[in-house]
Amino acid sequence: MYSVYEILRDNWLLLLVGQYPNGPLGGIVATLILSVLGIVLAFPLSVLLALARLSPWRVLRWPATVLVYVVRGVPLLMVILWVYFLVPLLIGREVSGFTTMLCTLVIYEGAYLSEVVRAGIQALPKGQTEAARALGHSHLGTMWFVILPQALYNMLPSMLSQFISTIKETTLGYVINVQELTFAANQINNQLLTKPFQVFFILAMTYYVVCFSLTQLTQWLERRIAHKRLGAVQVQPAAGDSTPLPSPVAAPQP
Amino acid sequence: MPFSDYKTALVTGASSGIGAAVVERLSKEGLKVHALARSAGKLADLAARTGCVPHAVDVSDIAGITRLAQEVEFDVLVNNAGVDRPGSILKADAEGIDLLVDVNLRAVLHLCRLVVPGMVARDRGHVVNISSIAGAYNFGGNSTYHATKAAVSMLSRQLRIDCFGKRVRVTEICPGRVATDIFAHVHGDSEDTYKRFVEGFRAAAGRGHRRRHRLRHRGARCGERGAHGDHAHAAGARRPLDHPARNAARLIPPGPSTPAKGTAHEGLRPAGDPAETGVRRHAAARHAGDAEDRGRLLAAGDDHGCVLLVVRLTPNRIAERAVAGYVSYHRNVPTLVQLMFWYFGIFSLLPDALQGWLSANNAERLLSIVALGLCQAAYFSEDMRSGLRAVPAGQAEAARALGHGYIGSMRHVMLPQAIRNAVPALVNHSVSLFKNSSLAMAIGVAELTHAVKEIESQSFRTFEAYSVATVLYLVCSLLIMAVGGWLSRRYRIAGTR
Repeated sequence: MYSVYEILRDNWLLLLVGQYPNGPLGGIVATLILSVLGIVLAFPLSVLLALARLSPWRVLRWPATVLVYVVRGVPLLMVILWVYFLVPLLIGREVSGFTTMLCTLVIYEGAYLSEVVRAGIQALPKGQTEAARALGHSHLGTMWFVILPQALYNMLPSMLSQFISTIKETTLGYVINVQELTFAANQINNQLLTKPFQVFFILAMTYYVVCFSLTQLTQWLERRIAHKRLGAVQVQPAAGDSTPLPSPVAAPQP
Repeated sequence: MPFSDYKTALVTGASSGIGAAVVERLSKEGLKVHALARSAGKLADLAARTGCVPHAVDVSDIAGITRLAQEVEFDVLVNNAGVDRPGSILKADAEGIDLLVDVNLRAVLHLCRLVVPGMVARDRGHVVNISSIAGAYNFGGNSTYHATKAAVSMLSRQLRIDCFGKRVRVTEICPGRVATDIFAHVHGDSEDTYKRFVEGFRAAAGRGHRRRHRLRHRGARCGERGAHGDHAHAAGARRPLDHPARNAARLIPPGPSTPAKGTAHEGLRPAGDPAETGVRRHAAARHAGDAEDRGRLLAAGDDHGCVLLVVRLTPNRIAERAVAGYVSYHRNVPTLVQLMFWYFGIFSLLPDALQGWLSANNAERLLSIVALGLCQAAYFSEDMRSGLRAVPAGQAEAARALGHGYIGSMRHVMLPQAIRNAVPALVNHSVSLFKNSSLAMAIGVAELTHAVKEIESQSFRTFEAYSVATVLYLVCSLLIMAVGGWLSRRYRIAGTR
C-alpha cells in the first residue's frame, strides 16, 4: 500500500493534468474535458437524430435509423479507426488525437443519446401530442414547445448515465495516443516498470471514484424526478382534525 | 398455514362435476370430506369410491345444514352447489328465481354464517366459493344466474375483510366452461347439448404442455388479483376447456406465517430453471460461431452472472455486500482499464511459474477472457436481478398461498416472468460484450480489430480493410439484436409492452 502512496505523491500532477503546461493537457482533467465536450456536442446531434427517427418523412427517418444502427452495431474502437483515417482525408490536414477522439465521441454518443431521447419522447402519453396538435401547433411546434421540454427533463438521469459511459469510453483514446488519464497511467507504468499492479490499481480506483459518485448523483436525480412526476406533495392531516370519515352507507334516519 | 393442517372439509353439490372432483382430490389429500348433495344414490357411489361421508341433504334445507354444521368442525368449506335456469329476466318465472337464489346464494350465505365463525375462532380454515365467470360478465340470457354469482363474488371479497387477521383463507373460483353435467341439467341431456357445450371445446385442453404452461403463467401474472390458472386444478376440478377462466381467487395472506410484503423476494433463492438457462444458452449459442472467443466469453459471463445473482439474493449480508461491490466496480471502471489491470497488474502478482505458463499459452487471450467474462457477469447479474425485482411481490405471495413451495414458486411463477423481463437487457449486454471484445486488441489479442490493423499496415489498403471489419461487426451485432428482438417478442408476457 505504501508504494501506492509513493506513486501518487510523485505523480499526482501527471495524473491530474498530464504534462501541462510543458506539453498538451492530459490526465483526468483531459478525460473530463473530453467527456463534457463530447456529450455537450453530441446532445444537439442526438436531438436532431431522434426527431429524424420519429419524423413522418421517410427521407429523414431512414438515414437516421441506418446511422444509429450502424453505430450501435460497431465497436467504438472501429469508429475511432474510421475517424482517425477519414477526418484527415476530408479536411486535408492532420488532426490531433484529442480532436479525433472528440469527433468519435460526438458521433458515437450522438447515436446512443438519440435512442435515449427517442425513448423519452415515446414514453410521453400520446395525449400530449394530440392536445398540442388540437391547439394548432405544427409537428415541429408540438415537438419544440410541448414534447421536448418534458421528454428531455424526464431523460436527465439517462443522459447522465450516458455521460458516465462517455467518461469510460474516453479510455479508448489511449489506443490513438490521446493524452488522458489512462495514457498518463501507462506513462507512469513505463517509467516505474516494476509496479504495474499499484499503478493500475490507482487508475481503476480513480475511475471508480469519479464514475461511482456520478452514478449516485444519477440515482438521486432519478428519485427526485420520479417524485416530482408523481405530482402532489403528501398532505398531512392537521393534528386536531379527527372528524371520522362519513359512512358510505347512509345512516338510518331517526 | 400448510394444507396438511386441515382435517375436515364440507363440499356442497358433491354428487357430480366439479364437486365430485373436489371431494375426490381432498380425500386423496387425506381430509375427511363431508359430501353434501340431493341425490343419495350418486353420493353412495362417491362414498364407496373416495371414502367420503355422504349427506343426502338439500343445500337449501336450512335445518339440515344447521344440524350438520353444529355436529362437525369444518376446516375447509367448498360452496360448489349451483343451478341455472337459462333465460333472461324477460322470460323468467317466479319459481326459477327463488330456486336460484336459494341454492346459489342463500345456501352459501347460511353456510358461511354457520361455518366461518368457527374457523375464525380456531384461527384455521379455508372457504372456497365456486362462483362463475358469470359473476363478472354476461354471456347471454342467464340474468338470475349472473345476479346470484355476482353476489357470491362480492360475498367472497367481504369474507376476506370479515376474516382479516385470522388464518382463514377465502378463495373464489370463477370457472369458465368446464365439462360437467351442468349443461345436461340446464339444457337437457342430449347428444346435441354435449356437442354444443363440451365437444367443440375439447381441443383447447389437449394442446399439451406449452398451452398449459402459458395459461398457468398468464394466471400467475394476474396474481395481484389472485393467482389463478391452476386454481381449478388445485381445487381438483377438471381444467376449464375454453375461456382461460378469469379467476378472481384472492388469497388472504395467512397471518404471521407468510413473509411480509416487500421482504418476500429479498430472500429468494432461484432454482436453476431449465427454461431460463435455455433462453440464455440460446443467446449464447448465437455467438459461438461468430469469432474466436466470443462464445466462450459470453458463456463465462453467463455462468458467473447466475452465481452472482444467487448470491446477491441470499440473505447473507456479507456476501451481498461483496457482490454489490463486485458489480459496482465492474460497472464504474472502464472495460479497457479492467483489461489492463488484469493483463499488467494482476499478472505481475502471479507466481513466476504461472506467469511463465501463461506467457507460453497466449496470456493476452486468456486474461482478456477472464477480464471480459468477469465484467460481463456483473452486467448479466444486474439484468437478471432487475428482471426478478420487476415481478411484483404479490406474485410470490400468491404462489406461496397457492401451496407452492419456495423453490416451486420460483420455478413456476417468478423465474419464468423474471427471465422474460430480463431478455432485452441481456441481449443489449450481449451485443456490448461482442463489441467490447475489440478492446482486447489494446493488450495485443489477435482479434478482428487487431487483424484489420495488421492487414492495413501490411497492405496500406485502409479503406477496404476497415470496411470489411465494419461490415463483419455490423452483421454480427445486428444478428444478435435481431435474435434478441425475436426472443423478447416470443417470450413476452402477454398484455405487457
